[in-house]
Amino acid sequence: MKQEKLLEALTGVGDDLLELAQNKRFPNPWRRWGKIAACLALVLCLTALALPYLPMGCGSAKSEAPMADTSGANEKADVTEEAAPAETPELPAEEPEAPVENDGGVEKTMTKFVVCGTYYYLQPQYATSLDEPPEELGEELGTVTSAALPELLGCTVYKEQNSAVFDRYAVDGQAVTQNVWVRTADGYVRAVTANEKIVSRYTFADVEQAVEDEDADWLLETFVRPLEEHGRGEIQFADASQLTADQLNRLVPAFAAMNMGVTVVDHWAEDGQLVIPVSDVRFRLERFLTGFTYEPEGTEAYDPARNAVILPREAADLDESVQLTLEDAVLSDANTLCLTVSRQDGVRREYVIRFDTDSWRYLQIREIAE
Amino acid sequence: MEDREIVDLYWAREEQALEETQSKYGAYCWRIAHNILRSREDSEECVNDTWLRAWNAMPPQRPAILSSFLGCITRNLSLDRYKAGRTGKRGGGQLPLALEELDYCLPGTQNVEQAVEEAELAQSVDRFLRSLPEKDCCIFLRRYWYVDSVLEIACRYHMAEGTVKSSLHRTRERLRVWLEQEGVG
Repeated sequence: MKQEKLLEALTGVGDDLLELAQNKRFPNPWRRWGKIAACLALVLCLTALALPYLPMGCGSAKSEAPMADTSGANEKADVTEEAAPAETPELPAEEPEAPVENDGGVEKTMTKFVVCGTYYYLQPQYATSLDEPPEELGEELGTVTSAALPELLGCTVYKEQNSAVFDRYAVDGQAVTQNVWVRTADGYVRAVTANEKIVSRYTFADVEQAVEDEDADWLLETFVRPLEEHGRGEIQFADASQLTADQLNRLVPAFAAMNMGVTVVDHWAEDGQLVIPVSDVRFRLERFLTGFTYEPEGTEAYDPARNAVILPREAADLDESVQLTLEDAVLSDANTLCLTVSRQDGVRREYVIRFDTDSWRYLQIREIAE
Repeated sequence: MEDREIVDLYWAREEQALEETQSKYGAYCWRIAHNILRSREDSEECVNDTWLRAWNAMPPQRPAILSSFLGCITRNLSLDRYKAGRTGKRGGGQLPLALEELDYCLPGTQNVEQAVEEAELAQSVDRFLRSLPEKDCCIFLRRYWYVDSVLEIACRYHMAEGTVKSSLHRTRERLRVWLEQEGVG
């Protein structure tokens, strides 16, 4: 087969290129905004601490100054308060991340695993390992049922109390991404949820900026593309409980594909088909659709004998042929995101998405009349 | 231990070379094999075979980049094993998907062996990769050399899965054009 020859030809590429692909790290584009937010927070804290020591005139002048008229202020203002990057001096270019050491153990290997249907991953930069149980060991979540690294299979996973690393992604003051501890044969290793918690990538303060740069892709790929492709762009609702059976039939593969990645889709693969347990379908639909209760009997591809929805393997693929443009992204309140998207055929659609402490949901999808 | 010291151990015919290699590159090579074979036992055998090959190759060889040298051996062994055991194997794994994606990169329908020598093809692909932006090059190699899944690449390079897919799509298209211009196919 000619593809195999091409794959074999790749073996002959230069060692330096392989080393580059192995060790190169590209900075997380969202990190810079996190840093800016952190800097601003630091400035505010220092200012607050310094206030009692400032000359009275300065402090009183501020306190006695007439309040700025905020009536009619842009409703977006409240959502940008945590970072306000526009008023923060631009930071120097981010230093390249320290190269991660070569794979040499569980904690140094970027890998994924599944516990009770939720997807976690070990990231070398956060995968602290301890010989003893960590102080912040919380409730037991379950055991690893699927993992790229066999060493993780069967390991017990615990929540981390007072998870700190991702606190900056908090919604309403609560972290949306949870650190966990995996008890391995050698001790304890810290990992992080990844699956439905894709929200962790966003700090929200910079969502409007995202429209301007290449990170708009993230918003599109995460919230829009699966529905635009699998739903053929026809799915609209103001209330998910009003979805028709036909819409639901199209939503099932869309949600099967959503955020799952190739590995999890492979998990369902069986003889060229996807055999998705009803529990998995229900978990996703009910998580992403507000107030929705999934009953599989109305789904065309439902197989009662297996209590699973059976779809062609391609059902979860995204073909990238649908050209989407993110026209606008607005946070209408701290936790509600509104995306305006146009397709290549000129149809424009609005997605309203609500974030909460453990995930996000579609509140509404509607076509915008010309 | 530094790579140079490990290579010296091979040259001195010290069996400690194998222990050090296993310790430093065991997981790395295992992952390459497992991405292709999706079988723990087969992957472990491939990794053990890798150490044997390395033992036989050094001396006379003195690889400049030990990880790449070992990775190449593992990859070749894994691809051979994959081909040998492919018939009747179940689906799944990243390799069939990676192969499918590469299908149209080599234009034309004639047998590749008739069109170009493998070495020539490898050199052409190497030149092509060097012409790419660094990020696209890394993404392409992670997908088709290391046979990582799209999600793994996205995590590794802090990108959205869709962005990885777009990059791969773009690079495959460029490769097809490149190989056409180079007279392959």
